[in-house]
Amino acid sequence: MPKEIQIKVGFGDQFRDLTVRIQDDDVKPWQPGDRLSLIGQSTPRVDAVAKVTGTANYSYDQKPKGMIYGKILRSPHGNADIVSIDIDKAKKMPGVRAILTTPEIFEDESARYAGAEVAAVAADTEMQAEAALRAIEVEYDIKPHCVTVEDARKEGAPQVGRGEQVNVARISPRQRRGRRGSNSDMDERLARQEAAVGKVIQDSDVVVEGEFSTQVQTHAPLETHGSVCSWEDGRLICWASSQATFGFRNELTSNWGGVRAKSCQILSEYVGGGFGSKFSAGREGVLGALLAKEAGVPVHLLLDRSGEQLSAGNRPDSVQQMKMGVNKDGVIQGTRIRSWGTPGTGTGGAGAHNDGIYNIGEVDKIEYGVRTNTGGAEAHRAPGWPQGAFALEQMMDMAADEIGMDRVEFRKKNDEHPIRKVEYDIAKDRIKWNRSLTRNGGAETCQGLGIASNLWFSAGGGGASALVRITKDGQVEVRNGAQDIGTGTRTVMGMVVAEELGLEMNQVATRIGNTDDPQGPASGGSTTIGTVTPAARLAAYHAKKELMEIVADRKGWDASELDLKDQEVWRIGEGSTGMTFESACALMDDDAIEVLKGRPRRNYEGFSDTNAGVQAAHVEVNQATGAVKVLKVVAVADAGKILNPLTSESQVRGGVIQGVSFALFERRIMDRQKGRMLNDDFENYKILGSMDCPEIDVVLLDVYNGKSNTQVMGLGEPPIVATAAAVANAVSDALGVRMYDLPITPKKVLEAIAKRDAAKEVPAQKKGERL
Amino acid sequence: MRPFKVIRPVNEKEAMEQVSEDNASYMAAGTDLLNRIKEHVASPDSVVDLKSLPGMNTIEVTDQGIWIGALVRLSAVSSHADVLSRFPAVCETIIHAATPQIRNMATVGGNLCQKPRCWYLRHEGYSCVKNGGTGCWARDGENEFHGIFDNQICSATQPSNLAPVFVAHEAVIEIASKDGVRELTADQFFIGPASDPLREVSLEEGEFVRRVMLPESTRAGSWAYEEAREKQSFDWAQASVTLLLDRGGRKGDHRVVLGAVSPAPLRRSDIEKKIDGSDDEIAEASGIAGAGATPLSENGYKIPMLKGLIGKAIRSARSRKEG
Repeated sequence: MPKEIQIKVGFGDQFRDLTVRIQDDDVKPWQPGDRLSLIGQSTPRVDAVAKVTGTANYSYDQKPKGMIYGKILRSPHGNADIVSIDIDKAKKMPGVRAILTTPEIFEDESARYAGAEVAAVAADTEMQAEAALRAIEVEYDIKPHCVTVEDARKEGAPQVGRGEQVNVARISPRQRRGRRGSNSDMDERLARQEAAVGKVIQDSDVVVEGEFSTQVQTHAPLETHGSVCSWEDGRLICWASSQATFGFRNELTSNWGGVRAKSCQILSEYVGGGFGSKFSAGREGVLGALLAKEAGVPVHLLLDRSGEQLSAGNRPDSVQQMKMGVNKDGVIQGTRIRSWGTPGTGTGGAGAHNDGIYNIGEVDKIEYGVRTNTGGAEAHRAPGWPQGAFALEQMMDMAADEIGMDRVEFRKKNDEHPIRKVEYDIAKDRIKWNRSLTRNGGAETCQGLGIASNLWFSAGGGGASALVRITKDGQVEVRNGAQDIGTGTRTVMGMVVAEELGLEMNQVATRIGNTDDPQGPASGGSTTIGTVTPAARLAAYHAKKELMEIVADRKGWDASELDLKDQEVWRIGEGSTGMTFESACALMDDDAIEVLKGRPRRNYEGFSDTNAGVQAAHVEVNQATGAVKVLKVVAVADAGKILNPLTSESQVRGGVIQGVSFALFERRIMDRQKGRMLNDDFENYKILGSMDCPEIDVVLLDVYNGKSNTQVMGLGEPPIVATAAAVANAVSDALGVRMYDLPITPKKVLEAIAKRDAAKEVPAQKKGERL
Repeated sequence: MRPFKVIRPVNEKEAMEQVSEDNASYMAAGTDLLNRIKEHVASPDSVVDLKSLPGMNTIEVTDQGIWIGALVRLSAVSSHADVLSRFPAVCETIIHAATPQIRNMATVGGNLCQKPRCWYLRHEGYSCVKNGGTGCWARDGENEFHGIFDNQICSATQPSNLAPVFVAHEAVIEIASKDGVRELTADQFFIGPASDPLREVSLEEGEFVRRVMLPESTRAGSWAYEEAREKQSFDWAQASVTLLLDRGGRKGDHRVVLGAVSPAPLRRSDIEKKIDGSDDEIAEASGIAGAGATPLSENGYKIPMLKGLIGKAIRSARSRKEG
């Protein structure tokens, strides 16, 4: 039975009263003016010292007794089928304990990209495993390949998929299946839409258009994919580098997977990054578990850097054609969008979210997925968003310039988000939006400003429980089996429990990343903290109630008047009773109070279903060398209630850093001749380093959202959405020429400058068109 | 990584004998060789570790110039007071190389003898003129970072940051050879693919670099080193310009050496002649940056990049002189 409560929702000077129905055993969300001792205070990660001193044990660091090493053999061909695999020679090599082949394990004879798994070996040492891999003789039926969207779209391009699959498929709106005639209905509907939106655009005061492209970005987590697997009495113990411990377990115990463990424990105490690529056990996870089974000893199988770059996921690239009709009052009338992107040989989506964030009028949008002979795409931090925002935000600046409106005012005109409306002004102020700079290529070194927006929409969800245990001697522990891929799960879960129990941070032990503990969420869609903390708070609240009942019973007090604050038992509204937390615990008859509580499945009605965010970038471009230096990024972010400003800020910084890296450096480079990735390493796959990092000015808004008892909204993904878009706008502002293609390398800057300067001599060049 | 034998010779003679064994390789710090072994593009059976040889890791300051042992670490050179005060351009190029960690390990000799960074050359399975096969994959492939000069046979570029500045200073490379010691000037030492595509330096079988001398007579009146690259943290130059003005106090004795655009450092006397102190020397000098270039499909941008770098270098050297 739900119960009704009155709460205040809002932020800054915008609060309103709201009556909400919450789950009957749930606790009221924290309210403005509540006396909180930990929540809202910057609290260092409880595992910070372990991480920076190298004492934290990641999966990669595990070394159970008798452990040997697994390695994977990959196809070197752009596209091939495996005809035969001869392992006889390899089997006899020194130290070899087990060899598996992928046709046998995955019933898949295709090796459709250079990097596809072919076989796996476990041997006593890494060198022995590698030597054995090289002794495996594979016969391939080599087929023609295409490794770029451009090549795969060409008429007569080699077919990437097997069977009926075509290279280019419409992914949105989806082709309907099964119902006769419905596809031609759909085609007609799309044709009508195209005509209608085309007319809206044509009838607008001003039309701008452009074709934008973005690159493939690999996830490149420092800890590669894989696991250390050990079978103990039929049970699989697996130290996995995972962002979904329970999903990883379910894959290994599933009747459909190759492993089919009857019982399995996943341990992910520390995870060296995932960014969306570590939801699945993957082929390396399955091979690791099976090698360990066959060898009869624990096996360490984590990918080498090349394998990681080739096969462990990436953000799809994009080609986005956009055409926008705008009236002189600044209101966008309609937008036509066509986009293409490659999921490689994977099945993931390759769409670009270029129609979100702003009201862009009537929309005619069709997206195509383009298969290529490359490693499969995986969700990558805000999938589809950074690339979509890049195209959309260039268009926003182009349109604003065309009608002669301030670029921020133009955005405000087409944006109704209550939080973002405030965030624009904060960003403008912090970046000094109206400052005077040497813009438009006016000097060898010029500068520019750019602005762009975020959007996100997750307040967490069901599927998490937390166990809180208070012992008679005053020890407190909270457990949830989810992982921490940078979200600060371990720290924030402890903070919530300590706050509820009126304790200090160091009085609460936390255990995460262990599937023998209560269920936790996958870290996807920026939901971990929003999902785990309401369960933890609820369990702590009920454990406290149990403890207060014991105290009340012994002392003859009224339990409903009691609470815990400052490590003592308080009488609500009066102050401390003088009884310490420890002496309260000592009154227990049993050894401990243990409460397991599940998070309410649904989120409550609240202030806003989405969180916003605005970023502004200040860049300097050297026109002699083409070098772009991002001087500063102002990141204004909101994520419901900010439980820990320090870890929240860190999430935003991480997003901005990865966003700048996407804007300027990272890209997968494919050799079209052999179909191989040329930069499957950290030398030529360039990731922002310390000297390339801008000053990052993070502003966090604290929003009493009301959607759960901790009111948290997602924060892992939104900060990367706007960064590349804002940087690109700033570069265009500095150079006086639009940048249509990410990453913005010195080569592209120099080429854009050359075209700009050539166009200056041809004044007939139409504005808004790609130069 | 394929296993190999490590040999630590006690003298030069032994080193040369050991390396003459089948499939043996010299190694200094190993920052390049070990990576190539891991990538399976080098697979020596034995590695002769030169670090065990005596007398090759000192910096000796004489009236004729500064002798730098081949085993001296890059970071030791760039922080050496006499090198800093007499050959500051050398120090400047070093601090642009690699990372502090690598500079603390890598040696001067190893830096000069490292193999090109061409990503085809460094991927197993690409047979080309540089590894004993024929042709050049970069010509019809991904060549954004390859050379724009002298790139017909092989378009890989000389990766050493020290190479251009050593050419500019006419450094003397002292080589240990079977018949004793021989010397080459830096511009003789670095060679293009026309003479032998398998080598980037003119070391014969068994030879290794003992030390390098920076001649006092080439000390610059002023200097500049400008390089362009994508990242500031740990990246390779896409193009660089080393400029020495009025060497040895001789007015007009300039050196312009381009890096990362050709298989060997490219001295450009045509550009040197344009640096004459006239008002339009920058436009004149940078204007001919691309003379003789034969850019590939993706690297034509290196011409405007060189123009920009030459302009920056002249301005920087001129202001240094005045300041």
